[in-house]
Amino acid sequence: MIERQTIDGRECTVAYITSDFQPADKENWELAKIIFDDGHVVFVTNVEADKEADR
Amino acid sequence: MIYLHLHVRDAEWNEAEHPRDENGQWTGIGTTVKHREHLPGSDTKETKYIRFGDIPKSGHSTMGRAPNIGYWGREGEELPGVSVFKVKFNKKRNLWQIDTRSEGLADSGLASLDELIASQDEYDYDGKKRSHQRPIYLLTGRRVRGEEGIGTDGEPLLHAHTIKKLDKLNVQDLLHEGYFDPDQDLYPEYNPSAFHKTGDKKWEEKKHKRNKQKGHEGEFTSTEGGGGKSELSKGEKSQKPQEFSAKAARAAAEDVRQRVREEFRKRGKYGMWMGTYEHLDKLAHDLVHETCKALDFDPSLVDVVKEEKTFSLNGKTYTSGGSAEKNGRITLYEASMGPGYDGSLAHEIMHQKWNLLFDAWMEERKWLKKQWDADKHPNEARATPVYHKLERVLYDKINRLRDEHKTVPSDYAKQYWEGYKTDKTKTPLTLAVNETLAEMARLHWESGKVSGSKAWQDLYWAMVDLWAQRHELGGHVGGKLDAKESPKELQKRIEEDY
Repeated sequence: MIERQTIDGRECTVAYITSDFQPADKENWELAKIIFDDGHVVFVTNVEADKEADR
Repeated sequence: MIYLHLHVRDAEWNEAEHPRDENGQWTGIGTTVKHREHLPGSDTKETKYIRFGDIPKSGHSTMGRAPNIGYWGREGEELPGVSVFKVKFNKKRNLWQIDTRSEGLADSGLASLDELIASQDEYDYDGKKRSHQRPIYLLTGRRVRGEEGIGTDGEPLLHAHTIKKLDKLNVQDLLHEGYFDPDQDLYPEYNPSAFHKTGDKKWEEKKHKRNKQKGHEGEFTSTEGGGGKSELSKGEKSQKPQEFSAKAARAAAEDVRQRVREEFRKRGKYGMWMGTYEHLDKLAHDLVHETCKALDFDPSLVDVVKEEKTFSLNGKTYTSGGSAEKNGRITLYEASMGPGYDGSLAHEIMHQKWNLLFDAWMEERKWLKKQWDADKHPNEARATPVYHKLERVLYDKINRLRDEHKTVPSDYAKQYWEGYKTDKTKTPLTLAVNETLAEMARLHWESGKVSGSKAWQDLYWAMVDLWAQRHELGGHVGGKLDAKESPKELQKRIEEDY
């Protein structure tokens, strides 16, 4: 699925997909492709980062 | 397209069997009336046509105000037949579908159709109630053959004396996909949100004379040659494209592609790359280098970063797999890489080619507009090669690309077309085209075959070939790739991104 979001004040389209680029739902995705309206693209893997490491 | 005053000559027609309301609208079916289960003519094989308005008394439609330069100055002339639109019966929907494709109807014809269909509305654009609506007839008849048998907008003409009326239709009997105006979605002045830039002056179509004659559709009719030099290149290189063999370039790319696919698809026991850190490091860098080589993309524009990055989405913090900038740079995080990543990279590289070629297209167009404003008409193919090519395979074919997007077997890409259909301000056309091309690149990389209809393949190969020629084309495209960031600048940007 794709959806529109605002992340940190920036408008973007978020596509939830599997690792082989098949559409996935918001609960069962492997990759998320975030396309900001300014052209910047970010790929996110569905691996929750270690919260300790984040600090 | 102009319709003459009416003369119903069909003795078989009984108006009493087809009641109309006070506005002239036939009330046999419609949005408020149950749809007819059987539409007359739907079970016979003869070619059917529809016409908005009765058959001209003279037996001839007249030349309308045409965008077709071949018809300029001939407005009001009689055509050798009656203007009609070809229809096919759509069994699934039980509707007459207007066949705009097989007839090669010009864009002006599609626009005329939209106007005619819109004119069936009870109220006009200003909210005033219409006093009259054209009757819509389902017809058969013998076509006027040859080049003369094509009307102002590319519509077929029928010999009036052969016309038979089979039915009187309501607009709800018709299925028409509608006219899609590429100006509205492809050019920034009409849709700034899709382009990240604004301020362009309105496109002056009058200076952009297109020849819509059969066989020359979409070609410009600029009469001056000379090949004015684009200011984009600023004298860096010759505008004249050098010898380029697309076939040789594609064959070389295919060789590398096959080798990369074989080399980097090796999986370990757990479906991941296995080995020492050094081995994994080399695999990641080799994959990037070799994939870029096959795809003719500068590997120094792809950074493989060891450190892990996080990204917050839906209230959770996830590991970032990579990022891409509009300027051509791609960043990959090594920890997320593994077998199959080359397909994703092929997808992203096509995005970067699109971004840069699209910008080049728009810049060349902007420059060309300046020339036209100054009443100069340079040779487009030489002065603005990216514009020249993309106008033909993308701008002129946008209706076809839209209609045929499902021929590219990617459910991922289809989502963007659905999004575009739902709300083009949120999912612009350029995004749908961009994602579809990127998927074609990924599928090509993974299967060795280019998917999609001819229109999509033409666009795909145009992107590949233009990219391969970017250095020969002067500063239009290649110049943009010179703006590389230093490692320090890159690091700073990555920090700022998150």
